Amino acid sequence: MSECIVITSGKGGVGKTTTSANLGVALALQGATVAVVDADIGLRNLDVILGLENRIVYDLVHVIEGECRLKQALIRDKRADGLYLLPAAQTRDKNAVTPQQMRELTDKLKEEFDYVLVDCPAGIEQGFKNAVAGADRAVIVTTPEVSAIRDADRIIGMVEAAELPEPQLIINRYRNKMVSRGDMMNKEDILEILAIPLLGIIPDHEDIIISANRGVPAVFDEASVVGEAFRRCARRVAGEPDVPELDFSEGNGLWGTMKRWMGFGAAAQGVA
Amino acid sequence: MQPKEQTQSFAEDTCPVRLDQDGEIWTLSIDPSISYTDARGKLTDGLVDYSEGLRGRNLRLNLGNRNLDLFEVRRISSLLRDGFQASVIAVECTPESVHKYAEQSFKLPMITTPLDTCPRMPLVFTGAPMAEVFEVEEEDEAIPTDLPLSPEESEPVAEADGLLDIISDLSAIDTLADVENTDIIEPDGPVPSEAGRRVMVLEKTLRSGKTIRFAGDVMVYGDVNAGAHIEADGNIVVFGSLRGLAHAGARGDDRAVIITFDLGSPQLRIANHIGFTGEEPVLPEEPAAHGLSKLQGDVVGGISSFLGRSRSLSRQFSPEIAWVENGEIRIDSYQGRLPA
Repeated sequence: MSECIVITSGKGGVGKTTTSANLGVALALQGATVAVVDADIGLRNLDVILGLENRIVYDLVHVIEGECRLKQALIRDKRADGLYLLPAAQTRDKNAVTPQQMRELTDKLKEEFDYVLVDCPAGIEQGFKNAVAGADRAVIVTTPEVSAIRDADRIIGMVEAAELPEPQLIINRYRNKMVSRGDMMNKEDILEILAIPLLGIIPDHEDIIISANRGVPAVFDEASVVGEAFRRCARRVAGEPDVPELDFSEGNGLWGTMKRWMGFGAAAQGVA
Repeated sequence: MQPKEQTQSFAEDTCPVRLDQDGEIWTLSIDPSISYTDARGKLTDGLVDYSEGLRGRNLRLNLGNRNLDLFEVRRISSLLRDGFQASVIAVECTPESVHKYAEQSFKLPMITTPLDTCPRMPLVFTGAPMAEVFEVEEEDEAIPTDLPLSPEESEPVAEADGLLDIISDLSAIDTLADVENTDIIEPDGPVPSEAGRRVMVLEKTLRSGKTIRFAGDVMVYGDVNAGAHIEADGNIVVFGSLRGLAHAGARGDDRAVIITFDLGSPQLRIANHIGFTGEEPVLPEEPAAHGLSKLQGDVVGGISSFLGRSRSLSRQFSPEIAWVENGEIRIDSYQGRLPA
């Protein structure tokens, strides 16, 4: 049964697009067919993160306005079987589509794909309403910051109001060292406030900036700790029970050791 | 009580315990002239033959103008439940009984006055007509002066999300705690506003961006997160963490109080008073050599006050109450008493 999952956060810059790209790649590498939809019309980025920007001919608005067929706008990612991107229009804005049109679009995509991941724009306005319109469930991305958590809280309320099931949470840019020093909110604090199930914790790491600039999501890098964190999230999204929490607490040493045990090859970079 | 369409009495009209049907509503009436003990006796002895009439029913327990007794009502409820699998879903009685019950409970004379003339009503629960309960998504304007809105202007909350329960039966006082299916209690008709104050009960966490306005008391079984906003004309009670903005006595009643299990709001409002509970972020007295390390204590304090609690894993509540005294909002640990 295929599913449409919206990746949203309220606040901008917390890693929605990175999460969408990495979850999409990870799910595809696990053998699922995945369409990642950039719903951030006017401020498209998902194509860059996925390294597919030079192949865009048609976009989401073209499809909705009937200028092309859906299949013409879908860009196949050659690195991961079954992964397709539906890019956003850069020259239009959020009002170019309606929630009803988005629902029809995602429903059509669900006929072809196991997962339809919708990368939601920041904010709570039209763009958000469009992005959640066709979603079956939501993944909330937040960072351990008071402002991001407050926005996530608001978004959870709006997701509930949209009658989606209880969303799951990804805590991005988590810094264990800062948490242990007491300089950053810890996982328990965040979960207590937001009171939704945790999908995974993504460590803060320079890998992610490098991978974004290169257009190669971290999940493609077997040795990346961020990639591994997203792979585990993807396994949980796919319904695999009891995926163990990634232990990146000790940084370099232990992670490197663990990786060698697990046969991942090259040691990872240190966790910030 | 109104005359019933059909009466299924046990010994016609002479029996002090009667079962009546009025449409969908089944009422078990206990004659005020007999004691609770006698009534229980009648239920155990006399009713066995008529148990089919009672069995499995949702009953309204009519006590007439007798003295209310929470303990006795519970005993009768469990007797009906155990003996006949019948549930008491409402308690019916006269306003005088409610009044007397309140006086006994508070050990004070009760003076009931209409809501519009006295903002602070005696602590008698009554229901609110649904149309007067509403919530808005955005904090768009200042305190409304024209509450309650007319039904056309507002959308009933209960209909909007189904999560809201309102104690909406005049007689459903304390005894509701002992009654199952409180959500199916419906008002008999217009609820007389002079009978007491209105209470809105929310069984959910209020998340950021949610605004609740209500012309009475608001009780929340859940957290009120930062960014959420409650405006109540009466008291606000939060059985959880209060991290959002609570404004009690929003139409100027400075006798209103805010009670919460866990106070984490940076600001509280009662009537036209504003109190700040959080501490201002403190700048370091001298720049630290290694950036944050010197600041650490302050930063942690700052985070804790935003979170509204200590950074411990286990949730430890210490209930607190905020009230207005000498023109200032005061906060103290709540010892189960309202300020004098």
